[in-house]
Amino acid sequence: MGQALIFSGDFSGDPEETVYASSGPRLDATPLDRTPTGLAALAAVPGLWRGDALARVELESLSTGYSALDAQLPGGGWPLGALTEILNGHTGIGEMRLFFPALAVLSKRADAPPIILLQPPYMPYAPAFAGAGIAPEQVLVLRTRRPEDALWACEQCLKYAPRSAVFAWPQRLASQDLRRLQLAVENRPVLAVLMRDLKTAQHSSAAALRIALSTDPGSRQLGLRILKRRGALITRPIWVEPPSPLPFIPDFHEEPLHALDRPVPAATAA
Amino acid sequence: MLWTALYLPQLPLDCYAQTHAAQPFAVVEKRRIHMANAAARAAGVRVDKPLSAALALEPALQWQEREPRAEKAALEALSLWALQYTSAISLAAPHGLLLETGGSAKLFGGLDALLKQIAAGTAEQNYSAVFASAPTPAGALMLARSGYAEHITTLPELRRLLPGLPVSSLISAQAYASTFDSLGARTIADLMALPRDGLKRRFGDFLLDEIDRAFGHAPDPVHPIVPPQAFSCALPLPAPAESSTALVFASGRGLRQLEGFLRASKRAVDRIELTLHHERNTQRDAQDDTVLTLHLMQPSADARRFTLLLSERLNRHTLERRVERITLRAPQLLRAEEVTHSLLLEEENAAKDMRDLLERLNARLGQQAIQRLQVRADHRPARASGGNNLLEADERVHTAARKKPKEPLPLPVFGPRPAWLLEPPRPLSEVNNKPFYEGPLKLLSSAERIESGWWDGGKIRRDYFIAETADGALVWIFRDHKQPLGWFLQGYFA
Repeated sequence: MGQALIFSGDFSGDPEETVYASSGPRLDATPLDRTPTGLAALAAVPGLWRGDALARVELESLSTGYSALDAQLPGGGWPLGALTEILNGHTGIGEMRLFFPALAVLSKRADAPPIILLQPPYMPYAPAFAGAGIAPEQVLVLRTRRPEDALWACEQCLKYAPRSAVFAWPQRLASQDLRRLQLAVENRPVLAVLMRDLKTAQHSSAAALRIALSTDPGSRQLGLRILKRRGALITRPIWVEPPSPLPFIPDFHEEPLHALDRPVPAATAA
Repeated sequence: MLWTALYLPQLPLDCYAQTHAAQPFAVVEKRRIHMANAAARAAGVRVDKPLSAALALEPALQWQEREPRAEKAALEALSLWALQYTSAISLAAPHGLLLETGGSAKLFGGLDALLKQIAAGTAEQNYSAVFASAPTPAGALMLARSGYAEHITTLPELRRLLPGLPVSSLISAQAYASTFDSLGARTIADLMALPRDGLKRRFGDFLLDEIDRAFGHAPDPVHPIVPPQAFSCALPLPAPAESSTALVFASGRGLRQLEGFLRASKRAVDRIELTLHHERNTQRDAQDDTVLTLHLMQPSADARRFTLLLSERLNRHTLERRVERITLRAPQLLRAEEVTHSLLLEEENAAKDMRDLLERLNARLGQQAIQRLQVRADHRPARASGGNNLLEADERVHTAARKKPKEPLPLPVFGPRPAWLLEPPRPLSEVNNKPFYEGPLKLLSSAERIESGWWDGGKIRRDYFIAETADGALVWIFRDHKQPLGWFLQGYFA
């Protein structure tokens, strides 16, 4: 049997978290039974995926609306039931627009799930959400005075806001806090996104998916470097074009919004 | 008819919400111990001992002056709770309740099952109680008062039992206890052996009447209580409370009573008021009591939910002064919604979870913490978006989006708008006549003129542009045509 058992990602909930962009696949030191029967038994373990391929997880996902990105994400979209970390150094490059196609799909679902914004850095602006096809009344903005309340509220939302989307802008997050949040969201069909500063990329994290954002000024493109995902690592960034306010021409009103060539979000993610 | 008497021998003590059973506590009347709890008795505090002596024995003893008014209020609150188990209930002062259980026993699966439920509920509220049932109200009460926890269903059996009971089981005998002692009348049979005429002359009509009613020889009209239109109950504390934990504990009894009352009247509440009466060590006004209001997303009659919310609310609250007493009020009773059985159970559950979540967040973080976005019909950027307080909105959260508004307001069509808004806008510097924000800004759109608001004094006249920063971020800036002229940053296309 020429197949070595390689785990280049990490186990969900494994406290000894992996480092992003490690120099090659990591051989897990766990002395597992390597006989075929052992392998077969392992394959039956839920939540375990083989490192040589993208995990075909049974986890629900929500199409990102960008086929190039969907193809690189385990589950084929934004993971539900696992933490996603977006690391960004510059406000305004499209960190929220990136999610607009997925949120527009979510917003049109019959059960009208809430989209919760926890401690956003600025005032979320209703017309922008409406313009992107996201019903503003579904957007709930939560602000807390004490940081410990924010963490509590985040955990509560992840646990008890089923079938919703939760975006949080945590001020400071210890690694055990991250683990707690990851545990809270596990196996719950919630889109859980932590918006963090690019500087935190160097710290390890329990999040299942970590993406660093970059721009190419002048191009309207957003570069996504996947620092961590369930599956093999990729080093080259994926370029997507989030819905842009441009071009804006004076009689714009008559035109459909965002008349841009971008993959149309299919009717996915029930 | 079958009557169940609920006798609360320790009501003077039990009407205070005692947090710890291990804390010695006593009720005092005329500077003497009237009643003491188990912990105090274990320390040697005996009934009738002077308070000073008791305090010398047990310096940690907490004590309160006996307050018959509080006892009566506690009894009334308990009767409201018990309404859920019976159609007729009446107060049997000083320490008893009478419940008509013959009619409702079937509903609860038999008398035993019903009594078990009532006993469990009473114990949950930390009342020690004796239950006894009999075909006559006075008979049931006599059985209970003598500690005879039996459930007698036939009159002949009751008549056989009653003569053996002690005289003290009669309410009307309280005042004459020593007299009966000197007469050598210990039991009801002893009393009945005495000539009726003599008894009547000596003790009045009441004594004989009570005996006759118990035996079923005289009619025994009871006066059922009339449920009030609003719920209110006072919860006295054995000692001023410093921690919110003690308050949560003490409120537990009131919330249970509220639940029972709501169930009985098929009502629900969406607002509960908790008044914390603070200790008054100086001659300060009574006005500075703290009133905490609990809001529920949907009317409910569930004590567990109330308790959860209340503890979240109290944890958020910092007690500035100690609390002497709590009053719980449900000012408005709403009709309980019929339970709807939906095929979309999962969706229903999700909606319910969501509602519970929002209530918890509301209780702990405060009402202003959660806002729902709303587009407003105003062209001025700062006024086109609003936050809707969840509870002020008349629509319920889980149905808000599902139900289309009856008459959708025509909203203005906006140009592209940024996801993050800066209000007030941030002034930008100008370098070589160009707006500057972390480097020179590149204008990417032609101007969108927004000129509006002349009618309410908030007039603006601005030219908005989309611009790109050196880092590739898109920002929304404008050039003001009013004073102070210049460039401003109003938002990020995040």
